[in-house]
Amino acid sequence: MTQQRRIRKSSRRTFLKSLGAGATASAIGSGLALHAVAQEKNVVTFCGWGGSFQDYLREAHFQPFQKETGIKVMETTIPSLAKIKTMVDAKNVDIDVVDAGGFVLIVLGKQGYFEEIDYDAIGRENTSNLIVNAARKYGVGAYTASECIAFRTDVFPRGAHPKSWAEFWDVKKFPGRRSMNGGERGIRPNLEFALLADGVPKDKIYPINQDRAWKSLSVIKPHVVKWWTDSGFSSQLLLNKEVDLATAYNGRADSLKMQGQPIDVELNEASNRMNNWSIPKGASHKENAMRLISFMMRPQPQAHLAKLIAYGPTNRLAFKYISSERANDLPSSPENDKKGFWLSDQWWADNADDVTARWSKWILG
Amino acid sequence: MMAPCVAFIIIVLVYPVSQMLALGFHNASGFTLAYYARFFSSPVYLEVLWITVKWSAIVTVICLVLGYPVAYLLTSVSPRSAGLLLLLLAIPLTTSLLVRTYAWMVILGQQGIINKTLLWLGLISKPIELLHNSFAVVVGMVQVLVPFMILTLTGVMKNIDKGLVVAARTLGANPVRAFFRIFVPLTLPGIGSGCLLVFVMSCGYFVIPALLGGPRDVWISMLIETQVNNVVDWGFAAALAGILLVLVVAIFCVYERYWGLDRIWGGV
Repeated sequence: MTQQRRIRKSSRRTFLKSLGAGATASAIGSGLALHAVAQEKNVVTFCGWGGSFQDYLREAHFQPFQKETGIKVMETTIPSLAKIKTMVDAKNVDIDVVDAGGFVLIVLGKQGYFEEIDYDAIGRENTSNLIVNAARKYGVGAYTASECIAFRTDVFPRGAHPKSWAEFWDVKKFPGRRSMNGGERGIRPNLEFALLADGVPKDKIYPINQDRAWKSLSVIKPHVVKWWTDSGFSSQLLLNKEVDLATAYNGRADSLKMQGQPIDVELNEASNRMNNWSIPKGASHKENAMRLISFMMRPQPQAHLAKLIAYGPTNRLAFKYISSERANDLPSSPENDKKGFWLSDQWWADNADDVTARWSKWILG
Repeated sequence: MMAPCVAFIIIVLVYPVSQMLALGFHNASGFTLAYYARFFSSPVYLEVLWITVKWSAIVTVICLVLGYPVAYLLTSVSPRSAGLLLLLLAIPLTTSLLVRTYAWMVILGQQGIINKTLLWLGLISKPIELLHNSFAVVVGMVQVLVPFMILTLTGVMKNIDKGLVVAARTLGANPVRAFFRIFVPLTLPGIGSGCLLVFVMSCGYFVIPALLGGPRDVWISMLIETQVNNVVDWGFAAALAGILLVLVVAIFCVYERYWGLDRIWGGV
């Protein structure tokens, strides 16, 4: 909050100074504030997905970084593909570091919307200990998350809960209201789950046989009361007892469990993915951005974050600072890595329009 | 006097909207109508448009039925009471749309107030489905849009000479007849403007159908959002937005032809 206030205050000053000169329509709202920050030197602007996760990032990453370097981390939210694209196209890049999903990284990286990551800045020790595929050209693996089975423990006590997608699909043995990821926000990885439920082995998922996947998905369709549109939404549906079973992000569901709510997750056959730290092309504090990213790739801040929320580190050295009990909750722990599968962002980037068109038809059919 | 206002609208509305629409007419190889052809060649997209129009029309009719008596009340009571009622109408408008939508989830859910009460009264044995269907969408939309209907109707009703109704009564019409033969026809411009406003606003809503709706409640705004953020096909997104815009402008034109747009804010 105080940071936001600070942004607003300094923006007013700059605004008064440059009144009439730089005030364009695009300067409405936070755009104006960040534009002012872009002139300052000892800052870096981070754009994340907000909510409690960003609070954890602040605690585990930004505050220690600020203390060590004296560089102030300004924050803003929702680095959507549309936002990054518009910002870079307009050559008005007031965000220095974004939390980019794998899909965004592939689509925008290819089109030149991100700066290349400087692995020398991250250092050889940390770079060589990154998990598989974390060191990419236009972004470096930030944290790992699983989309998995989440369930209410008052309906399915731990042990008597569905432990695979075949069991999630089994409405006779596990009766109950269900919720899954909805088409408006992309239905990955429902097709993968549907294939697993239909008996396809984990290493044979890709390339996805769409006909088979949609057919399997149709089996569960009548039991899904809500196709959720936002990752926080599915945990909320479980919390409100709106549903008994859902596909959910493990971190959000785990936070509810830690708060004592009757919710738990099953990481078997979970879909693992990695988000990335990326620098939009033409960022005004590129150097500071790289310093922040290399700080966030160190083992201790990553371990700190994993303590606050059950998203896994991308630097294997972080596990030295994580208890084995906590490691059980994290997607990238060696044990859980074997249980789940890695979502293919490339397959989804190649097939997004086809799947989306089929989804619209399927959901209305 | 109008110049700054017109300039403002051109800068913040006309220019960006035309830039956006232009996206729908060209791709890598130049001018194209492919995006529009894609829309009209697939029954799915037409169905989504139909869902949007159909439920917007239903929302509009319900807003009219609920709003008309309230507007009548507003013009019949003392100015002080009217002020108070207007305040009550305005308070929800100051609350975020998202908050109001989430409130409906709390009210209509399986564990919501309505289901809990009905269960407690023994009227039902298991929770009924009130949330995540078209019913919930209509409830949420009506709550948000009904103030616009009421305010528009009030504007027109205020300018009606109540003496005309009295005259009808003295000439022998009973109160019901006087109301329906004299008062209601005089409010027709208000009904037209209110319905137009509510319908047009409703067609573009995203949050309410997305959060309160069920699997089949796919509105065109949701399709646009998917194309922008998920498929990254901005050309098709622009075409979808263009089609929605044409539909709305067409309705405006019909209205202008028969009623005149100058009446929209209650002018006579």
